[in-house]
Amino acid sequence: MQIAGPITRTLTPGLDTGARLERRRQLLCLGLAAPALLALGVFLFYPVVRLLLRSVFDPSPTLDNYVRAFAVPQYLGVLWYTLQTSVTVTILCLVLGYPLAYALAEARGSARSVMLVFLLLPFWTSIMVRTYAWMVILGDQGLINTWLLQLGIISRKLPLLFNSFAVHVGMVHYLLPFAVLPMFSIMVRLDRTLLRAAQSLGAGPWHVFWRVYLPLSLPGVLAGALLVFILATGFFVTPSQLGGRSDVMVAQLIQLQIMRFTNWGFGGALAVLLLVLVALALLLYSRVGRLSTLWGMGE
Amino acid sequence: MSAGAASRRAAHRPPRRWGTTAATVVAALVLFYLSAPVVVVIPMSFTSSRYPTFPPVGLSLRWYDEFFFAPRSQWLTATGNSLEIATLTALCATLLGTLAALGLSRLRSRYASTLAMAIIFPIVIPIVVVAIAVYLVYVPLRLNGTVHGVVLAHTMIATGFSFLVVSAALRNFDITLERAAQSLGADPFQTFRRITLPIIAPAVLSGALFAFITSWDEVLIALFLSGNVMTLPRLMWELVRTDLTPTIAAASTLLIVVSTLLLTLAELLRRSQERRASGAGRAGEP
Amino acid sequence: MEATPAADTAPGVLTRRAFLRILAGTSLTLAGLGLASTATAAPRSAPAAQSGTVKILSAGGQLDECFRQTIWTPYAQESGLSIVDIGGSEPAKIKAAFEANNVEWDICEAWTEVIAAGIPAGWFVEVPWDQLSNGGDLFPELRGTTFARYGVPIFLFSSVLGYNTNTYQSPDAAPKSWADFWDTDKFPGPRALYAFPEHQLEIALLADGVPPDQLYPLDVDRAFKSLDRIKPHIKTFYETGAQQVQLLSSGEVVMSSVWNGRMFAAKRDGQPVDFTFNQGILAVDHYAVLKGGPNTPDAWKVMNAMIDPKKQAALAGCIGYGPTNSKAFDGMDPALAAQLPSSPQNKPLQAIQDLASWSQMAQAITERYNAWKLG
Repeated sequence: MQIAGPITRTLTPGLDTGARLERRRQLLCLGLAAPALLALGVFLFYPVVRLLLRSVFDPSPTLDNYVRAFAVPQYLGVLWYTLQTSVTVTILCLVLGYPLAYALAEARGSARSVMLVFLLLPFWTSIMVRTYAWMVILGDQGLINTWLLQLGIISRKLPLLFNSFAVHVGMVHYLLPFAVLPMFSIMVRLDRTLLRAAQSLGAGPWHVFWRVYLPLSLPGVLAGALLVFILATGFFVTPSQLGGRSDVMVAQLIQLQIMRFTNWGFGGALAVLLLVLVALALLLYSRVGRLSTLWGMGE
Repeated sequence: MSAGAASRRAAHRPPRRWGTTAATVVAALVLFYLSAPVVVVIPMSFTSSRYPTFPPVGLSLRWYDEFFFAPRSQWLTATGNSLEIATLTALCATLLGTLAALGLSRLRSRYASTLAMAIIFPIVIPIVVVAIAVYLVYVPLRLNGTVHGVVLAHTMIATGFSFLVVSAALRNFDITLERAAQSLGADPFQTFRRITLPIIAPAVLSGALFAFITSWDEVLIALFLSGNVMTLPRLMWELVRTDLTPTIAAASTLLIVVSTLLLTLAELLRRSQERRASGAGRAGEP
Repeated sequence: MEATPAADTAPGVLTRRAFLRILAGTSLTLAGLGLASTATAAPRSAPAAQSGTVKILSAGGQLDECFRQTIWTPYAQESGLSIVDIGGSEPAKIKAAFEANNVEWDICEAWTEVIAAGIPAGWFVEVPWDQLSNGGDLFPELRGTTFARYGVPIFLFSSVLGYNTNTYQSPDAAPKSWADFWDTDKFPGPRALYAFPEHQLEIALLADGVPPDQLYPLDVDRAFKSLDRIKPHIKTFYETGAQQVQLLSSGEVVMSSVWNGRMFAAKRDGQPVDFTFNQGILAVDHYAVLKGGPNTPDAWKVMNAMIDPKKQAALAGCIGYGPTNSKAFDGMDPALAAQLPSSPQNKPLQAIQDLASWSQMAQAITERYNAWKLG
């Protein structure tokens, strides 16, 4: 297609005009993004910043709210429980998710499609449906207890619900796809010739995996770990509905302090601590991985 | 020569067979763990007993009857509200996200990626912090307990998804197509409408889908902000603690059907976008 | 194909015209969406405050339904006022409204935490008792409290011992006192308590043997020691009335502290639950008028209707909470009266909550109770 003619004609009017037009163009591009940025600024960032400011200015300029979070043993316990649970859940998701991602990457055609359906269906199901499912499975009169009793495997009901076990089961169930998908997307693009090369150099299957495959799949593992951890720290629904009285995570504490006790300063401080946790995770990740891989997940 | 033959034979040997088998077994178990609970809820909704059991005790549609036709059923109202809120959220988020993606993808400035991160950042903020922060500001603005209040809050967290998906599509988009069109005399608006938009349409719709489901399934913001406007996830939250009848199983089944449809749609859109991205480079394509 | 581009239409440039078109399109769409959602929301959101409308920030749920049925709707018809109830009387909501100087409700349900936060913060209008025609008929002990200055006592409710009737099939076999609740040898099984300390400390003290008339001021340390003894047997803490019923009727717990009104309604619905008034904690629920509300004069009219004897009797029949107007008992069905917390046969069995004493210690006690629950 001959397009050189018209273009050269319009481009030649001199660099001066070109630069000015280019500037205007850039400004207008910015203008396209303006509605989103303005809306987010006013209706999201401003409220969040206000909440964070409350943590140091409510009731009067003070750091008391933060002191309280760490000085009162039970609040510290909540923070610790949140951290502990998030780390445990992340590790579980990685350990369980890695083989699944691997199998998905190795599978071909229809096998992979079928596996993906079983992975994505829960992913797209509402968290309340999944929470309800676990309640009727783990409860005293639920599936597992009823079956085990009927089969005579146990003689007394197992306490599977309203405790830490149920919280972990529920959280891992929700977060696994968030671990599997990044790992899968990296594994699928892995260069297989590198593996064959290692093999041809005499490496046994274990060595090929440990020395070649695993390091190559690491970016996916890190991305998955980051995502799961960040999501896990902010969990509210699962510990509230499936947990026992001591399974309280930071999100529940924030809700209680702000909605019920109107301790907005303290609630804000807890929110800040939660954000700091997320920021630390991101920082750690940026040291060992690249944040840009996260954007790439959309593709 | 024998070394070369041996290495060629080695190359044909299936790698890590025991490892792959082990991985497949674990994978199957994990997939079972993931999908069995969701699937199990479906037959439970057909039980005739008052407590959800599996296998179902007798077969009955009474819980679906309860969902649709009970005299003071909150289920239908909640479903209607959720549908309205999610649709409006999808529209707003798609509009904001797509425009921003278009703008920032063409912006040649070192601030472009910072601005992009600002739009994506809300996705990473813990939702409880967003819900509470937004609540404290929206109440004085009388936005609590209203549909548009919830839509506004949901749009804020959903815009990032639309932005991400459309940005990804634009990255794969061949910009020379636009230049070609403009060299033929099309003004930028026509170019967008007839060249760019059709090509990125699946991504735009995908983003809308993600925004829809983000709002449709959202619990926390609804819990604090929706007031008298009951949403489906919020209704389930309250009933799961107080009224564990199989009506929830019936509602869950319907939700699973909706999820399956949306998931299928998302997959179709993804494939369509891939096709367009790879097909757009071919000369002579209309 | 000789295209003659206009002066400012170089390739790749977004013309001002095109940009304005996009901007206009976006604004119109957003405006249209905004209008659409406002239009669809209009029937749901209350009409703008005008004389003739009274907005109530109420408890929500079953309680509201009974209020609507027995008091608000009838009075709205009688008076020509429009009464709109909005569920969810939370301290945070009210505090946020006051902070922004934008109080959109007239009346709110002033339960313990709302009162505890609201009186020091100055949220409530002082009650003009001489203007409330029904005010003189209220039980005298309810009129004299600190809270009666800012809130109108609307109903009496009790925290009582509720149990599952599949486990305890006759009232003789059932637990009869809080000491029984604490006696896990004679009455084994999981229990539930309230997620917030209101009444639970009194319960713990009664179980420890403190006589009902010596409950206040609360010996908090003794109460928590007593709570520690029962903690291993507390399966869960309920947060709502509906949850209490669910836990008991499903048999997940064999007994629980409950609100008598919930048991009243559940028994009527045929659920396998029952309760005893013995050692119950009798408490008052107030409603208050908010400062700066849109329609304070009409709000007092509605308040007066809420303490009307006939209406209170109807409310009692619906939810089982006791009237605060002594005249409400005139002509009441004796069977119903027997189930109310403030009736002659039930009142002496119970301890009366000292709300003033409570709200002074509320903050500290709540912190300690929260910590206790987690430990």
